[in-house]
Amino acid sequence: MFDYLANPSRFMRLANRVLPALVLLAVTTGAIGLYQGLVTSPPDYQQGDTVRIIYIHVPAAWLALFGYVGLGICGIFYIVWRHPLADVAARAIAPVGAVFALLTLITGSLWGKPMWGAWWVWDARLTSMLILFFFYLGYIALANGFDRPERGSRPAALLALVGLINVPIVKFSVDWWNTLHQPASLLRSGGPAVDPTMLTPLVLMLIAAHAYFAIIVIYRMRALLGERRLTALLLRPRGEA
Amino acid sequence: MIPFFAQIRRDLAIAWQHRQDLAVMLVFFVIIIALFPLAIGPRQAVLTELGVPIIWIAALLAILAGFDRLFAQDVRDGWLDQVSLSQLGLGWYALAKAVSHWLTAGLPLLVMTPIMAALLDIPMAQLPVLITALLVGSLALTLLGVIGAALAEGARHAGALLALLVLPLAVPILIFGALASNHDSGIVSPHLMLLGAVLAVLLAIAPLVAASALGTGETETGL
Repeated sequence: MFDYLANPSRFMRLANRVLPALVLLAVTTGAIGLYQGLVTSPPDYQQGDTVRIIYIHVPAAWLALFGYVGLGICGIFYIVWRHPLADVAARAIAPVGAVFALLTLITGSLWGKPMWGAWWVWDARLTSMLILFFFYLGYIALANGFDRPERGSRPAALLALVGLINVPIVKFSVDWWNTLHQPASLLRSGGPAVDPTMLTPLVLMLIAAHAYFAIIVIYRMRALLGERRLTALLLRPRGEA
Repeated sequence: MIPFFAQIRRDLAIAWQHRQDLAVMLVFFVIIIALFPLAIGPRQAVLTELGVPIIWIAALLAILAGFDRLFAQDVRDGWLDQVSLSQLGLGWYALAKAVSHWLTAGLPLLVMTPIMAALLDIPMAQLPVLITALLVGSLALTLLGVIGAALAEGARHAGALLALLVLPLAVPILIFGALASNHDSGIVSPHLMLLGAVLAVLLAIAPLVAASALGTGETETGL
């Protein structure tokens, strides 16, 4: 399958076919999820209505981590199999993941002030998300830091591979250190510990966020591939239109 | 094996020609440490508590200071191309660079640490723990710096880029190192073992990553 998709035109044709379905998925799950989350789901017995930020904060955090794993996978495809689209995909994913990480930090901060009384605390999970955000910035800086743009692809792919170590630390940091942050309540043994009235909008928002992420990445890949094609055309010698 | 040691000898000989750089780095280390009490004020209790972290941060910054030029000269004068074609190979070359850099930066820092500990009023009993942790940590940081230098080789603003790349990856080393240095029952602690694990992983991947990254500069396509 990945060989089939290595041709940029073929990939873009497939992506363009999938795009309307993704948009539909994102809009419907997002709308229902937001309605349920903001209106019909109950306020938390301890936190009141401020808990509703969870429906943005948790999807953003998942997507930030998901994006970084995606960068790592693209790195593997680039280094090991030299897949032509791996680099394009990675450059498309990086800023999106970075923004999701920033969104996680900001929404977490807005949540933390009424909950914990502080805009920021240096507990393990928050710190790991901040470090993840710096990773994204470093990746983007490295990929774009060379005079010849394509020169940055390989170092960036290697950086993504090396940085992949950080992602398990974020996931399990809550178990390793004694922290303020809520321990894992979704992916744990024994099943989710969240009540269905809150679990449903949360899962819907997660699906919506994944679909939204895919949509944005496809758009960015389209733009990046178009840019490359344009550069190739511009660099063609005159007389060869 | 012989080319490996020959490379180390070459780097040490070049470093000896610029031996004033070693003095600059050590003064940098001392000045960073001196800045903290100046900013914090002469509150002894606070300084004693912060002593170990200050030494770690100063060591981190001093070790990473020279890395943006680690491979630059060798790339410019074609030595890197010769190495990649030779028996030595880029992987062992990167490891040799790490060894020579540690000998010229990490080791002098370790030697300076007792004096710095005295400046920061760290109890002498804590020195063995501190130096052991710094030994493992400085080796890990050197390998990490080699990875960063190889990745950023040829980039614009290599110095700042290197800091942006390496410092997030250095955070676990800093955390575990500071925790290991403050361990109060014996030198060996779980934190020291985790630090050693980080060193082991870096020892395994640094030559591979550096070789892969340095090999890029030669082929024009970048693949």
